[in-house]
Amino acid sequence: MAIVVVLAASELLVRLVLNGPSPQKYDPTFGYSYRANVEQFSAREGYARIRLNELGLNDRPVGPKQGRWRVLVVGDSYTASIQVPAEDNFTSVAERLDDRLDVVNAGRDGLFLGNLRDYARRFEGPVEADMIVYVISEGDVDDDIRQSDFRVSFNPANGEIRDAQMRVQGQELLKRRVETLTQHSALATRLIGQFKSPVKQALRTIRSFGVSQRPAVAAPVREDIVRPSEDDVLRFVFRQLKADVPVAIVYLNALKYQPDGRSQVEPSSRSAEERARDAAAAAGIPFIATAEPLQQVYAENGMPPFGFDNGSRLGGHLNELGHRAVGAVLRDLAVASLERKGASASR
Amino acid sequence: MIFTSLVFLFFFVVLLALLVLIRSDGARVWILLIGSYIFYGYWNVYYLILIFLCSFWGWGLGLLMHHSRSQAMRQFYLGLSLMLSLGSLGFFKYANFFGENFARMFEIADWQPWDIVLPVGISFFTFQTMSYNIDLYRRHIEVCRSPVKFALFVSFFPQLVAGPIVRASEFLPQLQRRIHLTWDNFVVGSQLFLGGAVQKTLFADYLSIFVDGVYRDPALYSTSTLWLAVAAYSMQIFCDFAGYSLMAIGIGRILGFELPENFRMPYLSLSVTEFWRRWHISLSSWLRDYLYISLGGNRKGPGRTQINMAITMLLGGLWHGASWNFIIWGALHGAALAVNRSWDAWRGARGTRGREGPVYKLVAWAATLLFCSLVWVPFRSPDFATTWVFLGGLLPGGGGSIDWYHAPSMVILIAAALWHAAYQFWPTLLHAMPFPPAVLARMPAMLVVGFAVMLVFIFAPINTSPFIYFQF
Repeated sequence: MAIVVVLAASELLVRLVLNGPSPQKYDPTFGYSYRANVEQFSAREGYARIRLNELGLNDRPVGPKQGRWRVLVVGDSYTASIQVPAEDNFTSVAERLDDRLDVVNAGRDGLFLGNLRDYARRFEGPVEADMIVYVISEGDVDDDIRQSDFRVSFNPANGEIRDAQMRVQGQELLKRRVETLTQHSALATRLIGQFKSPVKQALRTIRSFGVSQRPAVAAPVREDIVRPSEDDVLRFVFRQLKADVPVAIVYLNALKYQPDGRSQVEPSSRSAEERARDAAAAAGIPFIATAEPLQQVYAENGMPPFGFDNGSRLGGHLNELGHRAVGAVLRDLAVASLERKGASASR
Repeated sequence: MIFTSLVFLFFFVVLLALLVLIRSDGARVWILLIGSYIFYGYWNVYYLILIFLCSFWGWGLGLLMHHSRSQAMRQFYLGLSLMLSLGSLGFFKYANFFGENFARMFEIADWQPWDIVLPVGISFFTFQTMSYNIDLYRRHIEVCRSPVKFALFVSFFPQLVAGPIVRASEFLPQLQRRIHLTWDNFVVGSQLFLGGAVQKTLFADYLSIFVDGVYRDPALYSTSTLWLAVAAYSMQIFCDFAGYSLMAIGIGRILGFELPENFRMPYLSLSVTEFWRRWHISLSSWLRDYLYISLGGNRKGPGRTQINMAITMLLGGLWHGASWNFIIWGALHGAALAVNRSWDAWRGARGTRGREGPVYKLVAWAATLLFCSLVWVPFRSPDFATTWVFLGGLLPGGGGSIDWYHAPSMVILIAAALWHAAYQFWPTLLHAMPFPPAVLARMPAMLVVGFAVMLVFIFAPINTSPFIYFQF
């Protein structure tokens, strides 16, 4: 009886202060995607209850276009924006700033750079997108292509890349086994999240012990293989982002703050931006960085555009101020791009 | 290997299983010693050389001291033991600090710091070894003839890396009798461990997210945020250290050992003197018994007493780390103790001491809490510049533009305030814990313990935040 009471009280506590049941379902292409028509609650950073629509997107139901330009925005957790109410995220802000736009938020937390195009492909048909905007940041450029599950196949003779794909991570297959539980229990979702990292670490320790017991055999070095550089991979991935409709990339800069409203772009964020800008230029994709408007937010408000009271104050995801700034950038980018294309839309 | 990791859980389960299966006392001492060395060597296997040597000279010189007939030789062995312990502590902990300051003083431009890795817990086990040799010299304890038992006293893993500092007089007699692995000890010890884990993971680790963020760049944050950070760090360091101590005491209890209490709600103190009777009790009593009294204590007049106190607190500050910030922290506490002592003497002379009304107590409590909280600022700051920026920001009109009212920290501070209030005004509520096995079988106790377990599982930032006092 005591166990039942403790578990029930814990479930309630988690639902009140941390998170709701998992909105995720196993997805053989992306590891997981969001379930349709469920509520998602998260209070670990920010505090928002959002309703995922019939496509499993953090947006209202997708109806007819009604003559508006429909922009599909694809990205990771910065785009999914589960930290703020749906009406405050940058896709909603962009819509409010220009009523010619109908912006669909197709963000999913933890979406890898190598998955962006396929993820966009899944939704561009159903939403009848007139344009696709990819939102990326430093992590996409610097970390994602170095993931062990990111596989690049290339011609060893000349280093020409044939394909670059993010494989589904092993942990997603494990998560699938407890999906029924996590979709109904906030407590189970939290506990699995809690113990995921130590269990992984323990498994890694055990595996490394096994490896160290085996005699080390040096792999033969093939000097005749021409390997593509990271920048080559990045250019290839960016080329893949192109579609039948106009595409563009929005880059979110990380800032380093100083007193009195001054700020600078973090050097690592700047260097990743430059690499991404080069790759976008090579792929012929319009690219816009958000450093200036984000810095302006801090200069005008004295408060940073990232971070929340219940999480990190200087880092983390965009807060309402940041969403307002990025929403304006998105609006300008989309309108300029679509006007250039001469797409027709009625006001 | 930290107490709140899966690796420790695995280690402890195996150790406990061995102790249950093997009932010979001699073998159990060996198991505990080997287990302690594995625990310590998990950080860095080379550390084991130092702890082994420290145990060896502590035990060997103690034995020689015991057998020597002349006082001069006893003094020599004690001096040698202190020199070796303080020498190793000085080398590993302070060599670079003194080298850097020496180089700065004499403008030696090409001085480079030595590549020295500070062994975890060195300040604790060297102090234990010294206390044994000093107590032996003072003939307060019996000599320990068994090198294995002595090595276990120095390296007993529950309190090895962050205390409490255990005296030989408290620990060695427990090795003379049977090691009791009982169900009662297991139940009570587990609850003590759980209580410590709640303090560490629910309170300290969450507060550290906020505190670390603010101390990284205090110039950015508003005055009110900085005051919140002052309160948060005061509670963080208390919960971190007291939580670790309680976990250590709990593990010791499971293994059949009694370790000394290390904290007694220090933020309820009405004076700085009382604060030091409640804060890190094993260190403050160590400093009192082996340093302050050795310097003459209060036996050489009021002026000398103040000087002895100041020296003790300065060295107490330096014990925490090789930095001027720690020395300043110690000096400020030394000065406060001197003021406190003079104030008490003045009130004693006027006949008002011991007749304090509730208003006096309230003001005294608030002043003590404010002082102790504020002097944590230099203690926590990485350097002088940060300390000044932080303290400047606390003044009206100081501080930056960013408000950060970290919600979890505020909830924790409210919970901590209620906990302290309960301790002060409804002591029976808290003193009912830990529950003995018979009580734990009843529903209310089961709910309290079960819910505490769930809180740790739900909120613990597992495998992330090491204990603050490991660095000392």
